[in-house]
Amino acid sequence: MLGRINSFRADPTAYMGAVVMLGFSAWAGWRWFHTGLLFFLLLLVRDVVAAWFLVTRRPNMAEMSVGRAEWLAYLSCALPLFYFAPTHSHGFAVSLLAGLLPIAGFTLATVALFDLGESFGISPANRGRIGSGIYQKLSHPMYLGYVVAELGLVLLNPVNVVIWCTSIALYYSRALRELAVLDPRVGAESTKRSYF
Amino acid sequence: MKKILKIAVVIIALGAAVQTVVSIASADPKISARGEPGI
Repeated sequence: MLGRINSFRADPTAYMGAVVMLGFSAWAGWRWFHTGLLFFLLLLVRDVVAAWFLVTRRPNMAEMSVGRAEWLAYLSCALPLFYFAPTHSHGFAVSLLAGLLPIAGFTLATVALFDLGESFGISPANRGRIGSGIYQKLSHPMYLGYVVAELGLVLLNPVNVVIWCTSIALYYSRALRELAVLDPRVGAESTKRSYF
Repeated sequence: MKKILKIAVVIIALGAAVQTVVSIASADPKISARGEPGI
């Protein structure tokens, strides 16, 4: 958990990513302070932990270049920022589901982040296979968590379904690329588990 | 350490879920008005 911090020169993109994550964590902390909602504390923890794992992550052992997949990964990360706000107030059941789905999704993503640890990254890379914790059951629990969380925004504004479908396509593309970057034997083993 | 932090995350999430249910229920007139005089 408390791994050694990498030098900036060895992995500058990790430091840039960490700065972005700390920016998100500051926003989450500000929202938590002003609203008292624990959901924002959950986001704060996730973003700080993600920033930490970025600057302590293992070197990429992949021999192949990811090229366009790297940009697709960054686009996939930025896409959720474009979801539209709710159009009107909703009934009890829809409001409840829309409130609980992001909590469930981000909980899954955060638990997966702890399991991923120093192998965490944005663009496809081979930082060692993770087969412990939630990764024993799911191949891509973080993506599944994001899909579940974003579904809550679709319930609040149906127009968001377009962004949601695009987001799923990008997660799918990232997952495929990650399997290709990892050792082929590992990729074959991963497909025996449930895909997400 | 990771296990403790994961448990802490799950506890925060459960608290957030309870908070969400209570907040939405109190905003719903059918639920928040239940038991009040005149309803």
